[in-house]
Amino acid sequence: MKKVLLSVITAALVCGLCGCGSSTSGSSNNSTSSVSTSTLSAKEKAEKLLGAVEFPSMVEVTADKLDIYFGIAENDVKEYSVYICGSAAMPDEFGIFVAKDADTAAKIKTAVEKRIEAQKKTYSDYKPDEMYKIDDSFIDVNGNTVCYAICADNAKAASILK
Amino acid sequence: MPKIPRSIIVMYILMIIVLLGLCTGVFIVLFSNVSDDSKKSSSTGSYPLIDTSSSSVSSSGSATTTGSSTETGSSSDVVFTSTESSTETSSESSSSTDFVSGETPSESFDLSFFSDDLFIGDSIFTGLYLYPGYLDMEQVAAAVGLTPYKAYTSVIENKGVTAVEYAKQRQPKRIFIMLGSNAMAGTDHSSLEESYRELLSRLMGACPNADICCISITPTARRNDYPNIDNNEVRKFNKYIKSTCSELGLKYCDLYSLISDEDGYFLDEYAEVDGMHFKGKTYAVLLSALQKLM
Repeated sequence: MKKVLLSVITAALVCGLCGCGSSTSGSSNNSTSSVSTSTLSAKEKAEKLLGAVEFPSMVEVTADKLDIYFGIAENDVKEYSVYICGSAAMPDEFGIFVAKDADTAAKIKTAVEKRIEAQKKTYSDYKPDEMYKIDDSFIDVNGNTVCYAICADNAKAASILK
Repeated sequence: MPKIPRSIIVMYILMIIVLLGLCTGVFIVLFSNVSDDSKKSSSTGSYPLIDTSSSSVSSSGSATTTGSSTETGSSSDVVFTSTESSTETSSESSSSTDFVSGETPSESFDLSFFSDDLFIGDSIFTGLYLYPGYLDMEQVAAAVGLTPYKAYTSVIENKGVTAVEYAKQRQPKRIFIMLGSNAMAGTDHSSLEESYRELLSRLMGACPNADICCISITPTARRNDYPNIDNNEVRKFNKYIKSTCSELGLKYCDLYSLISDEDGYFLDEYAEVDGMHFKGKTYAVLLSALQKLM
C-alpha cells in the first residue's frame, strides 16, 4: 500500500512539474503583454515601442504640429503620442491617438491614411529600398483609438500599440 | 535504513531527466533571444542602398571623379584640397568661413537671429523644422529629393510654389542654400553646376536685397547607405560652390570641414544612421556657424 502511495505521489509531482513548467512560461508572457498593452497610456506605449524596434532619430510631434502633419486639431484628441523621423532620412513614424469620439476617430484614420500615402509618394522615388516599411505599415482602429506604424518591424509595433 | 522501492527510484530519475530537459529548454530560448538581439544590433544602420533620387537636374551620364585627393587639413579656408590642378586659391575666401580642422564646433546660437531668414534645401534642411528647437516651417523651403534645378522648377508641397517663388514672396533678410546632394550621383557635374548657378542668379533677381549664403554639401560617413556618393566628388562640387560665391560676391559656409573627420568622412556623432542626414545637434552646429559667419 505504501509503495503504491509513494509511486502515485511521485508521479503526480513529475506530471505537475512538467505541466507547470510549460504553462508558466507561456501564460506569463501572454498575460504580461496583454496587461502591459491594455493598461499603458499612449505615451507609455510609444516609449515601449521606441525601445523595442530599431529606429533612426525620432522626434515627438508636439501639439502645435498635429495640424501641420495630420490636419488634426489638438482638441480632437484626448490623448496622443506621435513620433516621426527628425532627419527625414527614412519614412519611419508611428502614432497612437485617443479621439474624443467615434466620428473623430474615423476622421483621424482618414488623416493617417493620407499621411501614409504622402510618405509612399515621397520615398518611392527617394529611397525605394525603404519602401518595405511603408508597404507593410498598418492602421488600426479600436473604439476611439487609432494607431499606426511605419517601421522596420510593423508586426512588433502592432503588438505594442494595439 | 529502509530499502527504497525500485519504482520510486525510477520515478525520481525520470523527474531529474525532465528537470534537466526543462533547464536545457530555458537555456536554448534565452540564448536564441540573445542571438536575435545581437543580430539586430549588428544590423543597425545597415539599411539598403539607395539611389538618390536622380533628379531632373541632368539627363544622364556618370559623375566620375578623376582626381584622387589628399585630404590635408589647413588652418584656414577649405580644409580638403584636391590634388587635381585647381584654379581656386584661398585668396577668394573673403566671404567664406574660416574653420580649423579638429576644432570642436560650437552649438550655441540665437534663434531670433534667423527670424527674417529663409533656408532652401533638400531633406537635410527639412530637419530644421522637424527637429524641435530650431526653425518654423515657414522659414524653410525644403523638400525630400530637392535639387538646385528643382528649386526653381518644382513646387514644394507645403508651400504651393517653388523655392524661388517662395523666396520672392517672403523677401527674407538672408537666404541660406544647401543643395546638391541629390544630384551628385548619376549626374555629371557640369549640369549640376549650371543649375546651381542658375538658381543663384534667379534668387539674386527675386530677392535683390537679401544676403545670400551658400553652404557646402556635407560628406557621407564611413558607414553609409549611399555608395554612389563619393566624398571626393562632394569636395569637388564644394569647390565650385565656393568659387561661384566668390565670383558673385556671396557668402560661403564650409560646413563640410566642420563636421568631418581627418579623412573627410562625416563624423558619426553628427550623422544620422544612414550616414548622410543630420542628427538633431548638427543643426545647432550649422546655425552657430552661420550666425558666426553673417
